[in-house]
Amino acid sequence: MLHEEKLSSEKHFQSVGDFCCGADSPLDTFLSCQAFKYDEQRYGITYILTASEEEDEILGFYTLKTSGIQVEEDGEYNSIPVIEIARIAMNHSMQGQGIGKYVFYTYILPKIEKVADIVAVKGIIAFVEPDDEQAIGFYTSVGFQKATEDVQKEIEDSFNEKCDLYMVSFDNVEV
Amino acid sequence: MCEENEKRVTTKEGKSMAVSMAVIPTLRGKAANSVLETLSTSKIKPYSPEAKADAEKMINEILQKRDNK
Repeated sequence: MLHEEKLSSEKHFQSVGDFCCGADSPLDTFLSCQAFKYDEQRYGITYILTASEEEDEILGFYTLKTSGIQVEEDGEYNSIPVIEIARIAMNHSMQGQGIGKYVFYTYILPKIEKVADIVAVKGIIAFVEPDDEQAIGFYTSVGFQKATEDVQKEIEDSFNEKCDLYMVSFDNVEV
Repeated sequence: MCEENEKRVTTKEGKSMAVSMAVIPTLRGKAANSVLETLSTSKIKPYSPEAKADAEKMINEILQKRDNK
């Protein structure tokens, strides 16, 4: 088992700088330079994973936030409530061995289930870079599907970063 | 260190520093229908106790190797 806790600027301000999921990965920079700010602003809550409560070395992290997918049908607008896995990364020594899946089912999914008991959650989404085969493999292995080209085209016209939308229904969970 | 890293990153990487890597505009027509379809038919795959046990064993092995260094 890994120890998990919320990112804390008081406790983790040094260890975030040592996290490495890959050479010059933007995810490393996100954790060390951005995650604290987004926690404070409540734009994204980041959880870190260590070997134990006493240890500082961050072995992985993920950031969750709420989101919505607006759709218009016959003049009627709806906002589909979803949870977004905004960021997820494992230390390079932990990659490619099914540990990301373990983190999803053991830590991420139970949190979403708790939230879904209280407020409406229709699905889970993530944005993935088209050439990130490892991330694509991870998300598809747990059930995510890549949105169709019609959807990707819409996102391409108003995106923050070129990436593909992946999503999975939260209605049909078999765990 | 953060300032140095942020200056070093390319424009592409700089854009990915937002919490979300993208935002979804209002979808209509085929795009809207396909999202509704996917969110009705897709399913989170089951995770077997064996797979969980294998992952925990792997984690322990990695941590032991790290501690033995």
